[in-house]
Amino acid sequence: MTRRTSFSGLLLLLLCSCNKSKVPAIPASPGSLSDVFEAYWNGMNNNYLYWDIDTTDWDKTYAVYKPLFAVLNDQDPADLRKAVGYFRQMSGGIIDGHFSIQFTYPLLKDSMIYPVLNRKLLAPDFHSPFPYPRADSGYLDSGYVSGGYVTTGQDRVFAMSGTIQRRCLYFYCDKFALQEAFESDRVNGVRNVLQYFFEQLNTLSPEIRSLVIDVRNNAGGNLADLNFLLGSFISKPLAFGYTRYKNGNGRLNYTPWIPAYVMPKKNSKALTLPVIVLADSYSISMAEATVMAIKAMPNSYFIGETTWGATGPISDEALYYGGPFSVYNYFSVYTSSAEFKYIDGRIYEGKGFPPDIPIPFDAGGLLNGRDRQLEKALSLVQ
Amino acid sequence: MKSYRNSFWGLVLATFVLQAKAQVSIGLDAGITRNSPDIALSNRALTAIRPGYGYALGLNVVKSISHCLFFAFLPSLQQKNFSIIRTGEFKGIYMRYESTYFQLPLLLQYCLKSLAGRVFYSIEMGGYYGYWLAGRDKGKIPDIFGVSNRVNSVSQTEEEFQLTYYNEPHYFDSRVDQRVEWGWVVGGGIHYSLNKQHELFLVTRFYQSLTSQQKSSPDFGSAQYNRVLSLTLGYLIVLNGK
Repeated sequence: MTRRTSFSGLLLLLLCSCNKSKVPAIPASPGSLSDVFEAYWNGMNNNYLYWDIDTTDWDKTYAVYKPLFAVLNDQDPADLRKAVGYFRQMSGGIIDGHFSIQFTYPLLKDSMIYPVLNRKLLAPDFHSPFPYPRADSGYLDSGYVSGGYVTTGQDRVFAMSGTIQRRCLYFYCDKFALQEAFESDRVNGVRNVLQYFFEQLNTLSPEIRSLVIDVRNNAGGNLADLNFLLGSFISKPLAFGYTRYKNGNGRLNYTPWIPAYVMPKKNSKALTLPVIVLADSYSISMAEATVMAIKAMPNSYFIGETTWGATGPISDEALYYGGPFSVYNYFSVYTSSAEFKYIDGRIYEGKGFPPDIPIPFDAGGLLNGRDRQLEKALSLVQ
Repeated sequence: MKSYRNSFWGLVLATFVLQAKAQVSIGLDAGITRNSPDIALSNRALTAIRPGYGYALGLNVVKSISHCLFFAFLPSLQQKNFSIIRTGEFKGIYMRYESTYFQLPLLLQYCLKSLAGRVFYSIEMGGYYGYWLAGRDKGKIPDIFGVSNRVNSVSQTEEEFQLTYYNEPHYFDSRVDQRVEWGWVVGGGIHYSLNKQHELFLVTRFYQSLTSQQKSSPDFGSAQYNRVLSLTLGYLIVLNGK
């Protein structure tokens, strides 16, 4: 009987020792800047997508900055500014091209952390964004169409389309909200441009020898535009890469790589023309996806500069385990929701997608109405 | 982990070296497993962990210590499956993990004879070593490029995602996957003696892993401990019985 009793006691002890997993407890509201640091550090630990290739030593970051935040006073404006400086330093090496911190705390609202931009500012080939339509409208044949649209999120989109020398069909947009503009019940210029462009595409004149898609100085936008725009160029799904998502809290918890496709529009025909895409170092996010998808098409060329390097798409905060998150009412972190690998097996995040034919930015030429990148595109197909 | 390893293999050695003249039985058992792992995901919105069912298939080597005490060594294959599902507005999204382990449980069994004579009960406890042999990752997740927009009644843009299905072998990553597992096991069963040499049994066991299935930063929210309940039906034959 004694043996039986002690056996049962041991069983009970073992059964009571089950629960071991835990998520670090983050208080509902921060008691100190140290709590803000903890919430940010854990948010990055759990949500950041690029721990597989990012060389930032996040554990070391914790060891170094935890004691620094511990002595800061959240009521002291000087300490708050110091905290911003620490967040900037600890995030300086983050490779995600989308990554930025927008401060929402009243005393810090003018602060922003954008590591990729900081690195680009120091690059020898850095240049400011340029409004290409100013130079390129001079190349378009008469009858071209241009116009704008203000999105539901109050962003301004500009688009332009026309023919060049009657042998090239040209389309430009500086942001992606094309489907939204096209389907909007508000009268808008972007819809006129799209109607013109799709009409030209569907009734292609035999004189048209190439299609130029210009996404230079395009900050990205709605991912739905990938199928909306490029779905008109293909008749079957176009594989252009792979995505993977976070599937847990661990830094390297990922789903398998899942093929990424551009899906054809209903009744669309495969384009037989060469497609030339123009992009520059301000072609960001969805603009880069457009470049890479076009490059996955046969008979395509990419002319211009290496793109920005924000290839991982972004979606809502809670939909995926990776991606944007907020740190109390102090700041919002904007970061990729998925990791993207191009069809060649390479990840271009933080590096940018390189052109087939690099043509450097030429500010002087553009200011005088000459666009060497567009001219190269026109010379490719005579 | 080193202490688990040394104690476990020490016990295995002791079991089969000592008492060389004891009664030895061997047999097979097979049945189902239900894994409801302990995973740190409480920080994730609209998420639930669902147990997964799989199979268990094992060899039984049982050696008597005394009239009612036995050592049981049970090399076996065991599936430890589970799913993470999204709930509410994200219903339909899930991730299913199917993992097959080779296991070596070592148990101390205590048998209680019933009044009926041929029927007896057992309770048991012990430890196990496991090795994660293979896995498969399945799921449905919103395809971030398979999205379409629509403007809702209050003039806001809504995104509608297509779910994409994946079903891939699990590619082990030595930076993440802890393939060796140590844990404890308790159980109980009912046995029926067909005669002095042959026996049928039905046992249920609970396996609790003491090692996380994930290596990376277990202190920072990625710990994952398997908890498996098995129910198996088996057959034993006494090799050197009286």
